[in-house]
Amino acid sequence: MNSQPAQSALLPPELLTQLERMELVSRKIFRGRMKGERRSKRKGQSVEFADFRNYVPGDDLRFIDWNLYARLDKLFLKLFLEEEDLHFYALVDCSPSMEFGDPSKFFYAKQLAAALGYIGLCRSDRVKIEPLGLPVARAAPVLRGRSSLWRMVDYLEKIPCSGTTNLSESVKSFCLRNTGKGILVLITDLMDKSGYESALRSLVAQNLDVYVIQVLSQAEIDPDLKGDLRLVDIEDQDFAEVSISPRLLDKYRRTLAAFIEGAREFCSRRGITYMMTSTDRPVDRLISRYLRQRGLVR
Amino acid sequence: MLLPWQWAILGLLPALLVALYFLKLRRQPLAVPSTYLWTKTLEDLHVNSLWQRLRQSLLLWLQLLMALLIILACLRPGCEGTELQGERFIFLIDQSASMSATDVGEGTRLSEAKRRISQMLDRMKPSDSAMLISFSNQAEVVQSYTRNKSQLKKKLESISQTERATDLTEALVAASGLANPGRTSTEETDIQVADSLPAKLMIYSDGGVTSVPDFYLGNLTLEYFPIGGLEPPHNVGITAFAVSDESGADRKMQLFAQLRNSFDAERSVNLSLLVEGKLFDAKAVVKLAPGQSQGVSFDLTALAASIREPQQLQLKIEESDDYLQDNVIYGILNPPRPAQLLVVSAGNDYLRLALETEAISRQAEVRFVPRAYLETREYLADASLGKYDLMIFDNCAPPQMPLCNTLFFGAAPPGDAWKFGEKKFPTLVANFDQTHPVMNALQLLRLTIVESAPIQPPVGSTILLESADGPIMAVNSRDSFQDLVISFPLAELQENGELTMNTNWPSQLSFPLFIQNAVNYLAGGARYITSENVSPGSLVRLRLPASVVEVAVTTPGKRTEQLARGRDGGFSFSGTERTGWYQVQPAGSDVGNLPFAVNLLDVRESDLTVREKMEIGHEEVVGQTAIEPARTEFWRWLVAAALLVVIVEWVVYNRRVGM
Repeated sequence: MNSQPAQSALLPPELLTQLERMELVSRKIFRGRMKGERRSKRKGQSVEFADFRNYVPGDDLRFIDWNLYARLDKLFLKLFLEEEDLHFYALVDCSPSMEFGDPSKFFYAKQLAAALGYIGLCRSDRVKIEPLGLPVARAAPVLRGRSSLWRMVDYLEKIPCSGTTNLSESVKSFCLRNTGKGILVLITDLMDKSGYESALRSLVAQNLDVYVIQVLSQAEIDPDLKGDLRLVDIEDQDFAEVSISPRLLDKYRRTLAAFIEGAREFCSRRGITYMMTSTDRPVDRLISRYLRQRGLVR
Repeated sequence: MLLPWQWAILGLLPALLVALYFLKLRRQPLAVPSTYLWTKTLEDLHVNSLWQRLRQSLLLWLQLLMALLIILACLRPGCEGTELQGERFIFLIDQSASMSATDVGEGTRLSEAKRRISQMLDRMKPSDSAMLISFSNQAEVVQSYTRNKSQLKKKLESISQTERATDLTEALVAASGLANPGRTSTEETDIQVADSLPAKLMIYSDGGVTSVPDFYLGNLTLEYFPIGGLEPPHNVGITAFAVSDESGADRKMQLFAQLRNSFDAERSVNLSLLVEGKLFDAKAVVKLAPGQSQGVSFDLTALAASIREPQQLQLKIEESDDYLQDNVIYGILNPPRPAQLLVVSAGNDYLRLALETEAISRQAEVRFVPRAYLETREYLADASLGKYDLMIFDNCAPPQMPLCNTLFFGAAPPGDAWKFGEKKFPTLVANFDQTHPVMNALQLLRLTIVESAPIQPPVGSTILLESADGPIMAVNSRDSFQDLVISFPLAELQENGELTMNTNWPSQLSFPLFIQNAVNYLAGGARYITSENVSPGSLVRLRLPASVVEVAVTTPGKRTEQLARGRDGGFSFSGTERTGWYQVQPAGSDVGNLPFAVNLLDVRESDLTVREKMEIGHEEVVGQTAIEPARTEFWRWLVAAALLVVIVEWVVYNRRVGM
């Protein structure tokens, strides 16, 4: 794949300008490793006052509130909020099923990851975009700062869509390797025959602020099929013989709706923010409208 | 046995299977990211309806159904049907004359019997075997045991009507051959020579048969199917027929016939007598009472006196009825021919006197020769060629028996057959047989015989006169000839040339009567009708002059058969299948045509009443009208249904696997 057109394809300039004004929002306050632009739960040395507490021997005398001591004749320590960086993880499903559609779901997923990553980079967040299902050797780089944009784009473009099909295994592997806390966006089609539940459960256990964005192509949402077909699964070559009828299509749509509803319910019960998108929906619109509504960005 | 259309359905099944195979949909492949949702959709579709839910376990249901059907088939369910019970069947079909009666609606009784046997053959199971025997007065195994129904039917159709009488015995013996195999006994054991094969014997007859009391049925199960109309048959027939001349001065020649009415009401018939095809006389017989017989006679005196050639007579009942064979009787009226007698005697005046009476000279030509004639070549020629009808040997015996009837006085015939004992003196007459034609109207108890030798006649002889010491007169048949032997001479020639009487018989009235009887009996007298009563199928012995070497017999069907002289010097003809006139044309001689007639003349055949029962081997067999109920089995249908279920299962399985 040629990098120059892909670059423009992944993150067109107009999108970039739109993204620069946004920032990622975490519903939780996390402790980062480095000083960043984020308020931390940890009391630190920023200028923002947080609380008082009783002085205990050994505390830094510099933080004693001498005014209070003068009034109350008691020693109190002034606590300030610490400002830290935010960890942003984007997990892109690389299973072959993502290759489907025009544009493919995989491209859409990479574009979305890049867009969100760029928002993070602009806000000095710690951004890590991880392909799911690929060998660990190809672990993603940790990016920080706006200057890392092209490194991120370049990395994303080189991710092949040939990972394993097991979502749960890939997610578990990620969880083992990344124990940090922050925002995690899982971009996938959730079409795993062994089920997505186990994968999401392991994410929940990580105490991350998890977003699940399910990407489906229009052909999956509203299939335009006719006649007697032998549908072959591009992942495992499994097949289903169908005779397309309005009744069957209607049933399919209802099954899909039930599947989406099931995923939404599963996620909401576990504090995961879920959203489904079609590849027909432009990424900028998705971010500026839908993700803003969901509170991922502002 | 499956019917042809059932076979056709079975034959279509493989074709149907192949068709189903090809009709199975060829689907266009299409790649999708995941079949996960589709599979779910299809499953949901299946689960949704009750039918789909049933279909989940449809295969199971089908397999259960198939198993059930097979189990049911193994139980061999059945119901009362019309199939034949048994394994081996012997069909005895009556082809006698009475089976030609047309009182069964369409066709004859024989065709009705064939139709019913054919029906029975259809009901036979494939594993059953059957045998066909046709019988009249003789039996023929038309088809031995076979399972081939078409062969049986073909052979059944080939059975033809005969004009013979009925006798079941031979047919029963033939039928029992396999069912009751012979046994052979040794001193220790009694061995059965073959396995007995029980069989069902089915007799299709009108029952006009004599009972067969001395028959052992053994392994045969008997069933009798009477063939014939339900109503009493319409038949008036001629049951007896004779032409005879009355003795006496006026010599009246008469034809007698007996009519019998087997109808249950009074009948009147018209009789016509045809001579050489031309109407000679006619008579109306009125009021033949039901079941009664009545005689009629026609005067043939004028005809007999005028003929030079044998005349063909035909007596006909003009009215048609159910049985036509007994409505016509054929006869032959021959011109009188004097019998040829040869008397070998040393000179016996008593014998000469008795043979020269007017009555004898009217019917016979007598030639007297001395004893020395026996030594000549002429005798050998006369004896071997059968020129004479009767030879009388007075106190002498020929070197070899002539080919004609003989009468011996006081000498034993040559050979070992007749043995004379020692002469006894005096001889007392003890008993004599008055029933024999030769002894007709004789009174011999006052006979005085000086001396005689008791005879030891051959086995089967009829003893005519017995003395206190043993038989002294006997008659025996030799091939087709009769030998009458009297052990005492009438007179003995003394050395001085005088005759000494040995008995007083010649002086009694009984002697010329005896000679008359003997000439009538042994020389046949002047015969007007040749063979007495030749019935269809019987053997006819033709006595022809010695000059005849070969004869051609032409049957009523205009078939000609050449006959050569047999060992006994006569001609034997066995092809008397049909009633009518048979022309006998001797070849190579000046003798003209000597025809004879064949008639059935059987009261039992003429009585068409269908007998309800038959007596065979001390068992009374009652006629059956219906067929014994039998089981009709359904297991084949069940197996066929199971097969169908397998096919449905296959289809269902394939549809399920496809989805």
